[in-house]
Amino acid sequence: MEIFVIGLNHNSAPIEIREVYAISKEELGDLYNTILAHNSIYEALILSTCNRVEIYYANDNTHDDSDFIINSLFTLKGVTINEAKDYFYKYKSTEALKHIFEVAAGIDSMVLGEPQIFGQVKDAFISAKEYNAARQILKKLEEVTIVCTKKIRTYTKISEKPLTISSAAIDLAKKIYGSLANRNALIVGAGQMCELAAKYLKNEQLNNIYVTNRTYERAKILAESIGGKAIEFQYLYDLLSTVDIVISSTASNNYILEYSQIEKKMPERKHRPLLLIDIAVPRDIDPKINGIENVYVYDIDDLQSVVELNRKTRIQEIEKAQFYINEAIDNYYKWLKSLNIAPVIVGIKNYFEQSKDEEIKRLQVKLKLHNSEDLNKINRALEDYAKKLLHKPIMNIKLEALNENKYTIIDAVKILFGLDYDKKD
Amino acid sequence: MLNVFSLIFYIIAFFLVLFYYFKDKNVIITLGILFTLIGSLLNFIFITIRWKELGFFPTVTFSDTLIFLTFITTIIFLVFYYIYRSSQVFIFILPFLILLMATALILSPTSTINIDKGSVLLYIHLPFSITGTALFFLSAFTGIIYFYLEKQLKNKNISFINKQNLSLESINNIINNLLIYGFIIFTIGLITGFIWKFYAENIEEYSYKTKLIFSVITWVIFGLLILIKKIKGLPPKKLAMGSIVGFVCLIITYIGLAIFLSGK
Repeated sequence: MEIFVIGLNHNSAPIEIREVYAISKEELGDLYNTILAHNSIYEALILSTCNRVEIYYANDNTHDDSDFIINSLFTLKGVTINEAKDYFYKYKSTEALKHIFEVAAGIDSMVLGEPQIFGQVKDAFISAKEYNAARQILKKLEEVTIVCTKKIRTYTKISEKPLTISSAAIDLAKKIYGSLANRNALIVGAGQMCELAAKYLKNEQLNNIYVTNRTYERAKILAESIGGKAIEFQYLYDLLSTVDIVISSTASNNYILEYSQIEKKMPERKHRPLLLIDIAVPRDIDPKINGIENVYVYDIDDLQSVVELNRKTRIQEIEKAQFYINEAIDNYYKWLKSLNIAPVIVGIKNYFEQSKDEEIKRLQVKLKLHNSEDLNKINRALEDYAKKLLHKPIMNIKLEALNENKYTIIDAVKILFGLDYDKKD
Repeated sequence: MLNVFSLIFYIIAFFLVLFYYFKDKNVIITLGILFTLIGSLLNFIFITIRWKELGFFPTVTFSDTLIFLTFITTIIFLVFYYIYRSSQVFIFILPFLILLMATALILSPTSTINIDKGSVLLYIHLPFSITGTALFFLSAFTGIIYFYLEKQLKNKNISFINKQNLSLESINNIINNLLIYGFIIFTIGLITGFIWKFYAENIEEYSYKTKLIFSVITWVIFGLLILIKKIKGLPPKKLAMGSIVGFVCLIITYIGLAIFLSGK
């Protein structure tokens, strides 16, 4: 039994290819049915996110099923792009395991260490179980993947520091205020950057999030989407006495907040700290304001430096994560190999059982035994004898099955029965 | 000997914390805390032995006072560390603890003054006054940290800010709490000292009056700071400044007291 993965992601394929072969929830059933109908494939897992389409499968390791998987995907989507085959990557065995552990931990993600992918991997396993595509092999893989990812999340800082401008801004606000609950924020502008910042702020459970924009309707739409309050642009300065965080991103060519305005507002605020985040280009906030006591101004370049530093920190953490990935590969592979010996052990036990039954029948005739109690005693004695006889070889089979060593038949027998010829000499 | 070991443990803890700051491995900071704890445990053993030897609480010599001050400061600091989990503060506090211990070691621990051993009030007065002082010291010290962190935020020192895990707001709360608790405990120390004087004999009037004046000045400074904060509200930076100024006054009063008494 062996694990394989075939797929394409943001590193291997352009978006034009990824979007063609992305698999929707509705298509999952058909693809699972096609794949599992194949003779040599026992189990399968389909992971389809905005940045990747991957199909993991367990087969008997006698066939290369990758072409079959790709063709099944092409048939499902009804689109065959010949050169698309070149965008697919294939991994087998420990490489395939390493890949899924890296994917789940966010190491293979476009945004290194992003946490959402873990949820998507877990959902993929749930779907696979619903379609009865993940049974013994992939259920165990799910278990090991979850443990490995949780360890990486707990013991490394791979997901700790923010990698987007908006989340870096929130992180910065926490350096000043600690928890942002019961704080007030003001978003100036209603563009894409402001939308993103608003979403992050919403998660922080602030007291009030005000949104203002020159076009009031746009402010209202954004405010409603996050449960905030829309404010007419003319009241922007009035709000400065109550808000703690201002995030500004407008298309204005002039400063929206100037030094004198903030300087006047500070006594009204009783000099409480004020964080001004300027993510607009050209800038909305006069950088000189940073000179005013208890006011902190950060622009997009400052936040970009934060993001860059965090990215470097996350890259350094990959090395630590590899330790847990190798540990998980080792654990899973040992388990997988132990499955291969199960039929052998069952076969040996059956052989002994069969021999024992034949021997009892022979004795019954030869000794003319009719008493069932006597027969039971003989049966039990032979069973115990077989157990004792098989104990050592079975233990040694289990141990040696994990090794890649190749033995001669004589050495194999010596190992199985723990025979030591050297001592005899 | 116990104090020498205590000093060594504080020094090792300081280097461990310094190492942690660059290497960022949790085991190092845990060791740093452990060594600080052992240092304070040795202080505690010394205080207990000395108490038994003298027959009264050992806070009457300058050396004993410093050791008790080191012990109480470490304990308060460790409690705050447990709450706020900021390892950066360790780098700042440990040199002060080392300085206090080193000074205590240089000074002779054996000299004593003639006191009324039976006075319960004195046992309350001295530890409470010292604990209050320790809390004021920590508030001033936290005030310095506030200014330092605030400057990093102003100057946009990104690599420092990234490692900072204590917000300016948290530091402000710490200063505030230290000031309030310090003031309450110092007030108890002051009142019990005042009452004790009524019953004590053989205390020089001049020395007592000087002590009283300076203690009351300190009490008034911190009292005013808390009162203004409560009534008018103080911006965090001013509170931090106030705690530093207050502690500087406290130090000046102690130095002034020493000069007055030596002049006598």
